[in-house]
Amino acid sequence: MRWWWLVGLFSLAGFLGACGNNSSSPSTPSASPTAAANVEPISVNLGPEGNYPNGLYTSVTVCIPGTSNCQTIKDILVDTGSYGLRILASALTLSLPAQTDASGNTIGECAPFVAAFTWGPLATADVHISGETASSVPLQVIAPANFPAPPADCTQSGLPAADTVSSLGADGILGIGPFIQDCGTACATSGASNPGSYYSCPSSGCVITTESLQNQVQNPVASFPADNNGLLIKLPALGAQGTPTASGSLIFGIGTQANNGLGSAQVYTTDDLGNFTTVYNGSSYSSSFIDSGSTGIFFLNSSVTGIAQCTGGNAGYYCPSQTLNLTAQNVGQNGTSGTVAFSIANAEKLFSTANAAFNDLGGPNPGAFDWGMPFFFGRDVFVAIAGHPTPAGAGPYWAY
Amino acid sequence: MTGPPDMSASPARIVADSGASPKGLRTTDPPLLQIVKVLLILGALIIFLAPTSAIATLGEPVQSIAADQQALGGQLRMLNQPQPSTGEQALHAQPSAPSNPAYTVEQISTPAGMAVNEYVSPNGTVFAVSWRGPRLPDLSQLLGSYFAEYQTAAGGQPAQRQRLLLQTEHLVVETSGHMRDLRGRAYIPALLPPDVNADEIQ
Repeated sequence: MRWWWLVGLFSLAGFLGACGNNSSSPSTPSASPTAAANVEPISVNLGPEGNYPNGLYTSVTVCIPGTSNCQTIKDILVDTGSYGLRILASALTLSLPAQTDASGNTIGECAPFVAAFTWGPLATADVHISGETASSVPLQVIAPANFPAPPADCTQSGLPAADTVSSLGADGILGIGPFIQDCGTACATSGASNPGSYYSCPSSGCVITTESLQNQVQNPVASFPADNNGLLIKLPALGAQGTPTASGSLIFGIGTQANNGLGSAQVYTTDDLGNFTTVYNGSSYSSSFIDSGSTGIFFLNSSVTGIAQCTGGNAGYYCPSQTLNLTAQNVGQNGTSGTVAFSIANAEKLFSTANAAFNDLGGPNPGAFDWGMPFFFGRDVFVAIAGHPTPAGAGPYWAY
Repeated sequence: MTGPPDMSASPARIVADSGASPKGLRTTDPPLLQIVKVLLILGALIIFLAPTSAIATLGEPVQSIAADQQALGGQLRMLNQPQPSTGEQALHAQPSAPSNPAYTVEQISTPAGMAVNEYVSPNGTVFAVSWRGPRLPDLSQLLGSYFAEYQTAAGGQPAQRQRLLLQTEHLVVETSGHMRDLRGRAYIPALLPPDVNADEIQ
C-alpha cells in the first residue's frame, strides 16, 4: 500500500516503455552516447510492479541469431546469484528459435532458485548488452503458454513457480555470477549423478535429459568476444534513509579496458560453489556470498544476532529499534581478509518512505551471510568468471 | 519482499483410534474370526486414512528414514562425529553435523550431490531435516504429512528467489543459498528435544 502511487507510476512507465520495446532494427546499446562500449546503465528502483525494494535492473536486447530482428526488454533483474538469461514469455514478442535435441524435441528447464523455480523451454539468441554481443547464447523462456506444465520432479520441492512479472519482480533475470553455466558438468552427465534440471520435451511429456555445457543456459558475459572474463558493478554511496532511485554502471571485463582495472580492489577467491567465509562475532560462516539479486544483507538470525525481526508482511527483514552499525570480516579461499562495515536499519521505517534504494536493509538468513544490494552501494564490486584469466588470476573470485 | 508467515490449515495427521470397539459388528462369527476381522478393518482404516505415514519422515519414527533413503536414491550413514561447521570444505553437499548428544543425525547423500540430514530425538522421532545441494530435495517425501501445510504457506507469499522463511502453525521451513548451492531446513518446534537450540539444525 505504501507504494501504491508508485505502482501507478511504474505501470505507466512500463506501458510507455513497452511501446518502444520492439525494434526491428539492430538495436545496439542503450548506453549513453558518451559511455564506453563496455558500459551498460543499471538502475535501482522498485521494479515493474513498484513493490520491489533494492531491485537492480537493466535492459537487454535479444535478437534472432545472425539477424537484425531484435527486441529490447526492460526491467531485467541483474543477479550475481545466478547464471544465464531468463526472460518471461509474456515480455517476449520476438520468436526466438527453440533449442532442440537430436530427436527434434524442445529442451525444457526447471531452474532451481532458493525460494522459487522457473520453468520453460530453452531458446537461442544473440544477446546485446551495452556494446557487447554474445552470439547464439542459450537462454530460458519462462512459462510460455504453449509449453507443457512442469513435471513432478520440478514441483516436488513444493516451491512456487516464478512465472509472472508479479512473482518474478522483473521481466527477466540476467544471471551474471562467477560461473558460466547454471548447472555445469553434473547436468552434462547421464545417470544418477545428473541432478535433473534439463528435460527433453516430446509431445508425450518432458523427461530428464543430459545437457552439454555449451547448450546449458549460461552467463552471456562469458560469450562476449572481448571483456568476457568478468564484470564490475558500480553504484553510488547512499544516505541512511535511502534514495528514490540510484543509477550506476555495469562494466564488462576486468583489466581489459581503461575503465575496468582492479586498482586497489582486494581479491577474494571462492570455493567451487561460489562461496567464501564471513566471520561475525568470532564465528565463521563458510557458505557466504555476494548477491545483487538479494534485496538486503541477509545474515544469521535473531537468536544469534540479537536483532529483532520485523513482524507481519516484513518478517523477512530485521527491525532494530535503532540503526545498528556492525562489522564482519570476509575471508577468501586465497586467505585475503578484510573488514566490512555495514548498518542495519529498521526495515519498516525504511519501507515507510517512498525510497527504493537502501544501504542498510537486512534480514535473517540462518547459517550464512548473503551480501545483497546494500553491500554494493559506494563500493566497486568485481565478479570474475570461473576459468577466465584476469590480471589477478582466474575466476571464480570477487574483488572490491 | 518476503511475505507474511501465513497461518495455514492444520496438517492432515490422522491417528488411528486404537480403542475401536467391535460391538457394532455382526456376532455370528466365532470370536477368533471376529477379532481377526476387527484387526483387518482397523489395519485397512489406518492404511486408508494415513496414506503418507508409510513414507513420511518429519514427525515420524526413525524407521521412516530408510524410506527417504530409498526414495532419494542415496547412501545412508550416521553422523556420530561432531564436525566443524566452518573451515575446510568437506564434501560440498554436506551440512555440518551436530555436537549435541541430545539427538542423532542420519545423513542421506545422493550421487547427484544432495545431502539430507535427518535429526532424530531420543524417543526416535524425526524432529528436523536439513538439506544442501544443486537442487531442493523432494520435500513431499521429506516433510511427509506436513508437506501440504508447507506448500500452502510457500505458495501464499510472493515468489522470491532470495530465500524462504516460513513459520506455520506446526512447522518452520527456511531456504537459503544461491543457484548451484541451495540449502534449507525444516523442523517442528514442538518436537525439539529439551535443550536443543534450533540453530543446531544446519
